[in-house]
Amino acid sequence: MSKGQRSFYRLMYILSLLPIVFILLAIGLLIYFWISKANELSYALTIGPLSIGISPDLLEGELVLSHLDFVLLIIYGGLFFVLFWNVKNFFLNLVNEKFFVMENVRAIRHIGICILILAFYNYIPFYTILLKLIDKLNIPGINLSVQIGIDYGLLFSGLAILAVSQLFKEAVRIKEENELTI
Amino acid sequence: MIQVNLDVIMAKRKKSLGELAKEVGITNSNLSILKNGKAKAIRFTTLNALCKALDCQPGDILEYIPDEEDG
Repeated sequence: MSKGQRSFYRLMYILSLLPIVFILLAIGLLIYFWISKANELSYALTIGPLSIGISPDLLEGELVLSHLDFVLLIIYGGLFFVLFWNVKNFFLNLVNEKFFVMENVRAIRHIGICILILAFYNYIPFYTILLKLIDKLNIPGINLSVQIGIDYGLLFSGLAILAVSQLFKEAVRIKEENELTI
Repeated sequence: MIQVNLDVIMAKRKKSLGELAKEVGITNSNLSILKNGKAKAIRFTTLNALCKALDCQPGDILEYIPDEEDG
């Protein structure tokens, strides 16, 4: 492996650590809000690149998140955690020059499965929260509604990554056979 | 399954693992993998060198044993 390649894998490994730290912080904050029952949260509706911030005084009454909302959000964070944990392990193996090993097959498969689950789960944690939010929001002339659906981008990415994991599995088998040919 | 009887023929010819590996031109660890039946395949060149070094036929080294999976 060339020096440049190793540096690239190391950079990717470090970059994959950043989301893990961010996710852990986010989960920690969620648990803090859950336990402390803090409601001083700010809300923003995001439509593509457009984000509309909503100040709490625009709401009719307080928006209180239920236990289920927190559990769903923590599961959402957990899925991202598993996803990036496997990405991190994959790049760590590449840094250590372990390319075609079963560990990498498992890591890629877990990444694919996480992305597939996220394709269906992506909107669910925010669905009930947004329902409550738009119920309390009363802006004349603006009609808000929440829809639930599948993220097709993630769905196809997940399926493609699962297919790659199968290819990788076959590569590992061929590599092992090659190594054990005397 | 294919059973490797390399140890039997090595004992008959009174050849050590290191000695045979040197003659055949493969590493001790690879010969050990072959001897212990862990190998998945054997190259014709290796088999040729083994037969030459041990003065035997491929059938003396390899043996087919029918098992349940093969029917």
